[in-house]
Amino acid sequence: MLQGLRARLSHPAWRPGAVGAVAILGASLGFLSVLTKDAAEPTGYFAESPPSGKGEAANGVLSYSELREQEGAKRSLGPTAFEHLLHALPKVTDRVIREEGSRQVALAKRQQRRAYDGAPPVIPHAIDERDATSCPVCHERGMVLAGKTAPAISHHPMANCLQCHVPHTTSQPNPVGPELVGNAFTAQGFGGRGKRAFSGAPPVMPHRLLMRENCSSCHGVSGHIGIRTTHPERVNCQQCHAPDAAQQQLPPWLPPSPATGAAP
Amino acid sequence: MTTRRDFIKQAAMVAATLASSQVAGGRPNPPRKLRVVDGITWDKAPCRFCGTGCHVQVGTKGGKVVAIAGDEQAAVNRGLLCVKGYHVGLALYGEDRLTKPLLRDGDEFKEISWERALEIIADRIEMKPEGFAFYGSGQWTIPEGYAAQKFIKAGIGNNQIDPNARLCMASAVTGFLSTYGVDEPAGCYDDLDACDVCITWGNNPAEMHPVLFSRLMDRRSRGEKVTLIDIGTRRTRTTEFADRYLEFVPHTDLAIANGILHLLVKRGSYDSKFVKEHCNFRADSDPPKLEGKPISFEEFKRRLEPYTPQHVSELSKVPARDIEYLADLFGNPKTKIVSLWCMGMNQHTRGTAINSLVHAVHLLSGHFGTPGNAPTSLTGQPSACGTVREVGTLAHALPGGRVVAKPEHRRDAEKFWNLPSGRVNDKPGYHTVLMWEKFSTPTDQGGDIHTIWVQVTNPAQTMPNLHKLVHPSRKLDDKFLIVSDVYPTATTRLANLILPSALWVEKNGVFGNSERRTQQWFKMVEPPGQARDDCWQTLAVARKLFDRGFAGMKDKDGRFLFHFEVEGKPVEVWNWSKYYDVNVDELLFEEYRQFTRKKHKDLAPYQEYVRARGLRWPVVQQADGSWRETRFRFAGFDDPYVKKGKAIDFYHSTTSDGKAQIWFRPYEPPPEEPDKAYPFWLCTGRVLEHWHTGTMTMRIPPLRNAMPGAYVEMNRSDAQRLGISNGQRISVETRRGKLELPVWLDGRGSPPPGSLFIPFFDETLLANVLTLEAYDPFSKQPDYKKCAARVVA
Repeated sequence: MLQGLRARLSHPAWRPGAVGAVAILGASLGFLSVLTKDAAEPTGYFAESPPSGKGEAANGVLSYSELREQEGAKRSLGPTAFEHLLHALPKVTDRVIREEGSRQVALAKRQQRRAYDGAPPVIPHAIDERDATSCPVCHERGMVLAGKTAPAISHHPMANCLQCHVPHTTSQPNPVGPELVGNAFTAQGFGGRGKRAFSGAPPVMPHRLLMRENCSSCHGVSGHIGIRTTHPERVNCQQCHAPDAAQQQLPPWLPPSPATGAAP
Repeated sequence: MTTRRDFIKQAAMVAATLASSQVAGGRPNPPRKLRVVDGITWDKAPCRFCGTGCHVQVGTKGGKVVAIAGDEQAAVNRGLLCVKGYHVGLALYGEDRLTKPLLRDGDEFKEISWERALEIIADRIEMKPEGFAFYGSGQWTIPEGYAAQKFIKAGIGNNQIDPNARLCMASAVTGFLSTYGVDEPAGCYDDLDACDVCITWGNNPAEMHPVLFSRLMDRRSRGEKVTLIDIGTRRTRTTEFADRYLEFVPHTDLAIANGILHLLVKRGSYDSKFVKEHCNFRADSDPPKLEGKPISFEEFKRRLEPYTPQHVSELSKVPARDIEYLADLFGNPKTKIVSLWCMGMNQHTRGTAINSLVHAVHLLSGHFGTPGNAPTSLTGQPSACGTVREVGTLAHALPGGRVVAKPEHRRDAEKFWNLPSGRVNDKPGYHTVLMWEKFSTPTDQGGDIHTIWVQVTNPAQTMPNLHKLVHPSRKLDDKFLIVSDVYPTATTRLANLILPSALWVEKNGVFGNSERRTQQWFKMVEPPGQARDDCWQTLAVARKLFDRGFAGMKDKDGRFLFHFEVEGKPVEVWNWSKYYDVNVDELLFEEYRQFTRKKHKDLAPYQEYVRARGLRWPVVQQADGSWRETRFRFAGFDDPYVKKGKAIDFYHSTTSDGKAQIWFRPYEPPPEEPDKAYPFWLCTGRVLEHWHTGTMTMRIPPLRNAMPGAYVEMNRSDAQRLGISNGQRISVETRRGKLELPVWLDGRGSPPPGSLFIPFFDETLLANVLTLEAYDPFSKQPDYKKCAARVVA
């Protein structure tokens, strides 16, 4: 996989903006340059859109979207081939070698999908615009599909995924609209390292925990290799890695403030 | 060796590393302690966008906003935001921010000084004060709106002030007033945590109020049963979550509500005890007045007789069994039901009527006044409630639920504003549609509005029937348009004078959200260039007029209308270089606060809001000096103004007997329906990614890329019949205008056969050249949700 990413980096089709973003890690330009200048070009794993299930229906044949509007349409997919695809994820016993280069690739990828560290990532593939509920089919536990990784959700399941995550480019056919005006927003740095009390001590978590409660989403087998843990078989992360109190709005050991006595 | 205990202690000390605020409000605020992490200073603010009123944590570094986080201490959103909220910080940094005052010179704009801009405005006012109007917004902060309100009602004296909220929630207001005698919802968002059933009436909260929607729907993820019933005219993302979808013919929501009332009465499944103790019956008077006339229960029953499930089904095309299903739900006293609505019921020529009918359904069935039982209107703007409805920035209103027509209300205003008796004009100004119609009418033909000053809104995109209400004014040489804004908009492009404004955390502010929650924030970064607070702009023009001897800008002692003293010294609130020496917001807020007691919308002192993530009014001081908010209004267990021993008390009843009014309102056909020439219904609205006219969100790359432009939704069967393919550009035409745009089949929403939908966020494809300006007779709110259209492929 790492080789694949490197190959991609050296590929002529890879945008200079993204290479620049790798070079100036921690700066904020990557995301915006991708989104402002290269908006039409797919930025994610998916070079092509997966089938959306909305092909033109022949006369008399119901389209998928019409089918779902039928009275009593089944909401659940039931057992599907998706179950088997889970096996495609790397095994927890696969050896992970950590190195700076792959870490920077991973952080650059994260940066492309987020306006700032902590922003919900954009969706790098086409979606069914009206169906905000089917995302967990692939993302609940994560999977690999046609060589592309669908990471597991980083937070507890919530109903309306599309409340926070929007596609990186529209699924409108033939979209029109005004030119995009530039945006000079400068994000905070990505990819701070966790502090260690001494060399060899387990690092504390360098980011907030809210919405990132499921460590294995980014650091487990479905995560980018450069920030993947060397020991995915261990499931109780907080046994060794403490949250950084300064990062939390509400440090868990402090009593919650009453509504009128809250700190800013 | 570091033990785990030591480590936690160290970590806690890091957490306590705090910095003083650099740009707090200055005096009289004590320096505040803020959290600083990795060089980023974090402070709280309500989100700039919708009326949900989420709190965000704003991270600033080097004088710029660099990050946003959901505020975990906020009761509204509990750390979660929607995609707009997460990117709200980017709204400040579009590269074409307005930074200098600009004056039109032919087809060009030339830079002028602020001093010159103030002179020009003062000249326009002095020329003919009675023809000057202020057009504001539910995005005005409370102090901004209060200053504009006082500027017009006490200073100019012509009552010509109205807000864009007229286009947004005026029918909700008249619905509350005619039912309870006082505006704004009795319930709050806590109802969403407690209800068994939620009914969305022409409402799509999955896109428009996403945080509230997920607060409700995420209960399902926790294993709770929440039934969602979507009553709508188009399938949306909300529909996808619904257990039952009732698709009705536009405008027949009144028939559906009457159908429920009919069955409750006929079956005897209404709450007879609740009705006997707490309700009267009401119907339209002749001539129609907001308070209507009393009718007996027998009369009420008789009038409902035609609304059988079969008849309702014929009108609405909703199956009769679904009407019976709704009546079953409301007939079960154990089921806790919340109704939500927003523009679907408000932007309606029968908006007041359908609002009062939904209240009637809840009151008649007793689904009212306990947690989880409430009819709750949502607002689209961050301070439509706080600034427009509470401060009363409307042509007929005075602050705190007062109206210019009542002598005792005018006396209150004159007292609080230290005005000579008789200063406040008793004649209401023009409501929004009329204000713009007068502005677009030649002066010698009765168009007696010569100048409009627009703040914080974009009427050249949002007014209905733009070709009639806005564009003609631009061909009249003696009409002058002043626009304060942060970016070039459809309105600034038409302006004579453009004033650059500060945005969101570039200034202090106070908003009031949909659940009566008043929320405060401080300035965190400087506005760009010469951009300045809207509030300062108003105060500076007021001072300019005062200096020129304009009588209205003096109080009864001859002092400036906005005379404030801090520590015994007068404050130059009109002097920009000193504007942030004191907290002008606090000074204005404390003056405004005096108005809030009469209608029991009591606000706490400003400093209480500094510490809170908003407080819901009435906020009442307790014996120990603390301030307590009210979650459930009119309910004895929570509302301190309910008479002792009463479970429910409508203490502002229009009948002065502590009772609410259950209205009979008949279904009546809409002013324009599809016909042979224009066979489609046309609906307009919003999308998740864009807020209102997109002036902010279209400049935020992730939002704009996800939704780059307007489109028209059409049913696949219509497209097949007309030979129109997905993505094809077609022309949508109404009797008022036409618009060419691409078709999106089975996209974000899916209208039924015979219906179209166009979002209004795109300034290059103005949906409002098509819409109808017909409005509700009581609220004067136009109907953007239905008119007749045709498509030309």
